[in-house]
Amino acid sequence: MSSTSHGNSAGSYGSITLSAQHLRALFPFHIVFDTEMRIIHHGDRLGRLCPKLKMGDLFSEHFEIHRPPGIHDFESVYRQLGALYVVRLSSSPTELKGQMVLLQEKLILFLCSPLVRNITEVQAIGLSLQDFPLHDPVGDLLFLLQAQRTTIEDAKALNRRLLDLNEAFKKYVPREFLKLLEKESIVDVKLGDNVQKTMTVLFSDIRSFTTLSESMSPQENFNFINGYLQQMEPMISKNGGFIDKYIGDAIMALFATAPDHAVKAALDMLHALVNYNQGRQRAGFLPVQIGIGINTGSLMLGTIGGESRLESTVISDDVNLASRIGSMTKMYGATLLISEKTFLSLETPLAYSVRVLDRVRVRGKTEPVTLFEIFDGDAPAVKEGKYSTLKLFEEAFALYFRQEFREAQKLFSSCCIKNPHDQVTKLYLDRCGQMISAGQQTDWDGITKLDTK
Amino acid sequence: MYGLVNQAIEDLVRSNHGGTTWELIKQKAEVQTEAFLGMEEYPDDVTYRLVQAAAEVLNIPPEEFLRAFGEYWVLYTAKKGYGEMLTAAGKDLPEFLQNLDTLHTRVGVIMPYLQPPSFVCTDVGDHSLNLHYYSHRQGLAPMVIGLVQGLGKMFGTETDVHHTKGHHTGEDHDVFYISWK
Repeated sequence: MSSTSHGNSAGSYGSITLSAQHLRALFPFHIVFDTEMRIIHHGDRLGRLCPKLKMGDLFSEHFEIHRPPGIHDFESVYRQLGALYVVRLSSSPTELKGQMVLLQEKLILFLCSPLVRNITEVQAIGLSLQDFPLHDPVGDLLFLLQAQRTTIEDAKALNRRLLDLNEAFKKYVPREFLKLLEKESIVDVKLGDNVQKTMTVLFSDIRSFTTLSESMSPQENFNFINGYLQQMEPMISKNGGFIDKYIGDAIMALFATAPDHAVKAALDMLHALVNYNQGRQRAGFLPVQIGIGINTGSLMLGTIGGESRLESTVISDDVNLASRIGSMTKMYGATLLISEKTFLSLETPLAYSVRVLDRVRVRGKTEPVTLFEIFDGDAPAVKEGKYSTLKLFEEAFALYFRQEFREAQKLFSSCCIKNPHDQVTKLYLDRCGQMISAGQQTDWDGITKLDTK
Repeated sequence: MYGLVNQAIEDLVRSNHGGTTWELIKQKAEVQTEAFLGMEEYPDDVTYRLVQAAAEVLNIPPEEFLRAFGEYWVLYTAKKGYGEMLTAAGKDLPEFLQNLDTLHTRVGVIMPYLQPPSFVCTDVGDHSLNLHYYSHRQGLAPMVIGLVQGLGKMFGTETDVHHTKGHHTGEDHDVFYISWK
């Protein structure tokens, strides 16, 4: 048999003949058929793929030429010798890929190899890698394909890791913060990026937390704070806000929408606190009390820090004011205080039980601030007391600021009789008493100076 | 050296000593990569630095780490989907060792930049052979010892490996006398 692909063009260098034994060893899957398409010779490994194959069988008994199309007999193969052939086994889904070689005018050799895409397929057809001759690139192809799969697996693993990292980053830098900075990803955030925006700031903290924490171990402190914050956090997000930062037990949250959402969040927090406290009391712990302050203003959002440690933050006097209003709740025995800027920006101010509370001036500021108390989150009895004296209290408040202290004192006294536990009424009764004994003052404006930070 | 090798070092350290130890080793080796890509080519120096740092952090000689790594390499490549290829490379230890060069040549054929090592078996007997190891990389002979021991374990064959010749005896390549029961 000639080694050249197209018959007997031996050439001037003499011819080399391959024995059938060599052919079988070199091309263990080959098939030779005659003009009748009868198989007269085949590779020994082919027998493994096609156990019923016998010499003299018709090609079509065991094989079907899938590509090129329309090939059924010797003549048509002869006309398509240049094509790449894909031949299917009738007995199994295995395919053979190779080329047709005209050996003599009356014999064609199908020089082929099973088409496999991974080593599992090799095993599935009952072969092993060693059944392929070393010159056959199938082995290399399998390695290459495995290398490609490894690469895809690596890419998938990196992608999972990236997702995990993104999820983790989101917990540290809220997505809303990136949105406000108009950044698609944390990767795009640079030191000094900033944006100015009117927003509402909510500050809440646990009253007398220092005293409370002194009685607990560090672990107990963490458990307590996290147990508490877990109850509070959802109330912020469900009302469209996001938490800028936690400062120990304190929460600083921002609302880019109407301040009503911040007020709603605060009331939801107070409501959640009732449930949380019931749980605490069942477990034998004292209930905790919180105070919430809300202010609205123009805030600068941005990043601060150095080259290696950045933090997203909000810089504004309005943030400080929100924080101070939050701490004032204790003095007034209130749960929720809002600034006049917040009150005046409310879309539905009538939806809340609200009363004007005081006029204060924060240290270092010239503009006084009017405070409003929203008492929907108070205990039912407290709320009822404040509600029933609302009109009387506001009349007394107006009289007080008109410096009609004796008239104011009378009305505040009536308030006190009706609602004896109102800390604010007592505060004003004290103030009236002081003013009456101090006599007329020309530069009096009634504004409480707040020195506490 | 391709990333699969560095990945295997990472996997070995992580599974035996935890992620913190790995991060420490990576830091000590001054390797900045977040994750190695299996088919990416890395400078050999990265692997050497990782081995050196791992030896220091784990307080073992680098040769000992390389040996353990060689053993782990068999497990790791199987885990990464090359298991069936390993199975296909031989039904027992001597057959596998005689196909070791083919495995590496195949890798070299498709990824020539990786420059995989070469192996030749001589004096093949029923219970021993000499494995010749050719590599342009220095100092990895202990890894070959581990690799053969790992293969021994894979085939459940009690195997002895002796590093008989090498740069230490003035040869241009290493020879290992491998015997099995």
